[in-house]
Amino acid sequence: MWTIFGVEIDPNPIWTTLSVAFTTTLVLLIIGVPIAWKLARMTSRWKVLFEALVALPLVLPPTVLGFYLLITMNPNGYIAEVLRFLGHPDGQLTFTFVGLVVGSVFYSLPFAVQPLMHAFEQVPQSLLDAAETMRAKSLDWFWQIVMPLSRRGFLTAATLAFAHTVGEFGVVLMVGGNIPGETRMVSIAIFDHVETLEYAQAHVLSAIMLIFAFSVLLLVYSLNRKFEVKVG
Amino acid sequence: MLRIQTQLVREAFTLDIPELSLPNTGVTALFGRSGSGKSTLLRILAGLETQAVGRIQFNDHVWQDDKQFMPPQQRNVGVIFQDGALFPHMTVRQNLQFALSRAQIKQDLVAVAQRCRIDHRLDAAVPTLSGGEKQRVAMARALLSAPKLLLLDEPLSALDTATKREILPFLEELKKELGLPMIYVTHAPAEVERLADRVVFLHDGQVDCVETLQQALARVDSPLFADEGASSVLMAEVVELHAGDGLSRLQPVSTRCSLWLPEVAHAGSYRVRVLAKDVGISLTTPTDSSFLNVFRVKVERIEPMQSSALVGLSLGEQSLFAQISLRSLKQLQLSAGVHVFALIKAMALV
Repeated sequence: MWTIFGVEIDPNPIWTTLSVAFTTTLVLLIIGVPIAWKLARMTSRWKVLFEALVALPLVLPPTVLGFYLLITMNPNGYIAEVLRFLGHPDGQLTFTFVGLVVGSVFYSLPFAVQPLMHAFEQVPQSLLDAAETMRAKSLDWFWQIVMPLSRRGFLTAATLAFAHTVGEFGVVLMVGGNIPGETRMVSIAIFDHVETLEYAQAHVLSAIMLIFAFSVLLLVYSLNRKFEVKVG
Repeated sequence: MLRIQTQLVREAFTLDIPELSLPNTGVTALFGRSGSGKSTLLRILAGLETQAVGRIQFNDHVWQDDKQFMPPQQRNVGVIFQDGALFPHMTVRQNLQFALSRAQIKQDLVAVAQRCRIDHRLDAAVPTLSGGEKQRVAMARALLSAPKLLLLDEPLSALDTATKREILPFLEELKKELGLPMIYVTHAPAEVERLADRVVFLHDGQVDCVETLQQALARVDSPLFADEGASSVLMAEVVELHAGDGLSRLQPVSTRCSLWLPEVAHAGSYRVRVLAKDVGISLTTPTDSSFLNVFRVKVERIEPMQSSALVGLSLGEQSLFAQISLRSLKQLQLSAGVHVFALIKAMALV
């Protein structure tokens, strides 16, 4: 227990929130890069379809997304069966840390993919063509040219994915539930405190969230200024 | 030998080349208006158009046919793009190093940079380079990847006139020194006439004809003459580089005349481009005119056009066009076989 301004606060939701957000961001950067790259370079008329799919979590009520995930990941479903087949003890993802991360990855997907996609679209094709004629293979030029020219995109994607995951509520409640020390995140802890009329705790946690969110955005905007790369 | 048989179908454009063979020497110009498919053909050769079908063979290497497609990484070509395509987040040196570290034959980076005259800018950031410097770096970078064929996609079109004037002699020099076959895409007749040994005329995605530069310049209806009118190229050797008053004195090959023009960059041989409308004709030697270049020439043929006449002249073994008004043609009573004097202002030869 922490004591802040004389109020006793359980720090566990803070740690859970941070580790869910961190893991989610990492996963999103890994799977978001190929998705964003494919979308950025896609010229087919199906592109709009994929763009709409990726953007879906922006407009869908989080409870709807959470509901579908809850159904898909239920202990009697296919995914659970596959996991049991692979040696997982019970195949249970709902109401666990992993389940939370899976839910958050879907929920925050557009926040990672869209900035990356935008950054990738700004990289002129002629640079990549030139690199290829100089015998650079795709991973080579991606690492040497696309990544450095998309630094701002990566920074924005990571920050938005992280911050958005920290701030989620609906998906977390549906998929993760409210198990103290395991799946209870700050946003849910605040809700709990309000429900039980513990306004002092809710105040402190809310203030922490507010300061955190503001500092993160401040950091991003100032770094963005420093990282400006001129193309052309 | 570069043998090309290719087809590329896009929504609003089709490139179709049933058969095109190009010798593996000198500079081949791909000439045509925008939308003629010249840049597309260059990209197909580089392996950058994966949708292109057909068969392309360079010497003994089949670059692509029905069964295989060799990616750009394996074709051993260097490409100079219109905008230079330099990596903006790297310094000049890092750009060159990028090519060198992936090349099969290692050259000396600084030596190549010196040859392209950008060695003083090696540590500069790309965005601080001028347009001309960018193309020099692009050239050095392409050379450092040790290509067997150099593909240039309108390398001068993004540059202003003054910079073009500075880069064109540099390209001429490289052509002489390297002996590397080049394919040069352009829509500028001046570049073709200064650099090319042969011209592929493209129109609406098809090859109109392939001609040597001499053939292309001999016919009155050459597409090279569409914008600026007829022109000729005089091959000349520098006799005096600094001949005073900011002039150089050259001697057209196969003659003993003096050809005066504003100072050229270096000794050796030059192609001097002469626009037909800058050439006048006189029956006697003018002794008190400002024309520095007065050549005794023979009238070979006269081609009347709508409002003027194109007079084909021979100067030694070279040929020269003069475009004169129909009135002058009548007054001078020119006819094939007579000897006259061709007058060219030195200042028209820039």
